[in-house]
Amino acid sequence: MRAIRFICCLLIYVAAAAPAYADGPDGVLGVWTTADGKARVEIVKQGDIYGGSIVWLKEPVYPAGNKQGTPGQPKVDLNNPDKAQQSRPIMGLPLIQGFKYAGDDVWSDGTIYDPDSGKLYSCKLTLMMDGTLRVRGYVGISLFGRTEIWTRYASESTPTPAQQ
Amino acid sequence: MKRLHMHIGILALASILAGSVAIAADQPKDVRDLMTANQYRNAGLDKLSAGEMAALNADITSISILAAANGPANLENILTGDQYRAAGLDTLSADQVAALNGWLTGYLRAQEPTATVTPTIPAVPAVAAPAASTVPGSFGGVMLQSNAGEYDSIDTSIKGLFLGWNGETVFTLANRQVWKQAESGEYSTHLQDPEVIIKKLRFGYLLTLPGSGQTVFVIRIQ
Repeated sequence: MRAIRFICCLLIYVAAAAPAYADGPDGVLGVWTTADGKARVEIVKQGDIYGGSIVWLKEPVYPAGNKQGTPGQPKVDLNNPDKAQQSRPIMGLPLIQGFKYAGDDVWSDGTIYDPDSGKLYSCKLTLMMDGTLRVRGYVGISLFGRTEIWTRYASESTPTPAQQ
Repeated sequence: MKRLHMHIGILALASILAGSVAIAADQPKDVRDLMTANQYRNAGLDKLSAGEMAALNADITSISILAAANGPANLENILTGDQYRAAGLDTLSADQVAALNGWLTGYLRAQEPTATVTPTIPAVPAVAAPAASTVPGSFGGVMLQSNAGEYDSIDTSIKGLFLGWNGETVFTLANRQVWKQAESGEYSTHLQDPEVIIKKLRFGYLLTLPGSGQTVFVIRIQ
């Protein structure tokens, strides 16, 4: 009886200690910190399509002296070429969209939006063995692009800006 | 037991590769930085001990000289029969060998020197001096050279009559750089020696005509 109890406890411990990250198509799900550390993006799945929105910003409001936005106010998508979109908050903004799992830890056919310029790029995601996510944005063909390395945000709960 | 044989085999393979391919020391590599999670698992490397992984990393570092080989990598051709058997590769399934060969092929190709970019346009006539820019030629040279020392933008002009872009347009700048339209789209204008700004953005280079505010993504080809 003791042995059974011990085995049950061991199994529960192992299950709790195991990484919560799924393999295969859903391995990309979760919260990721962007290369510059200024934002976190939560990647979710809708049907077979993967996309991610900004869930945390290092600097969620315009700083004092900022000429582009109103100091103290939440950042909005001022650089969007579509004027109707320029008032949408950066927090919650869908940064990457439309990805399909292409196999071998690659998600392709998606796009990544750059709020700093208002530009949209083609994008491919690759989950590396070291746990990082290589985000390749490009115009035209993938060869002419640049890769950013995002890191998985380890905390189970994503802090809100007010908690930072 | 079969798994143990496979691991011993991988170690033996690493030793053979290290011994048979004489190689100059290279930057240390870690296969965990080189493979995706799937590749890692498919090759059975997730079962290796830290010591085995260290040995494998050392040997992966040392086989870059094989990049000169043409075609897909095939361990059956790289190793002798005895070496192949000594490495235990004959105990692997066909899928595992294929996975290992597939990864090795991709890795070795990635080690090959970057091909020289051959311009597809006529040589640019010599220009007496840059019109507006004194920025070094490294800007935009992502396909030609290192990014080191790049500037964030250049302010220069297009020589001669400029009629806009139509999808495949080549822009010859006064600073002798040549850029090509990287995205679809058309824009018509009629300007003589227009000022242009090329700015490095997050994932590409954007050419702007300050006079009109029109923009187009470009890549540098010369």
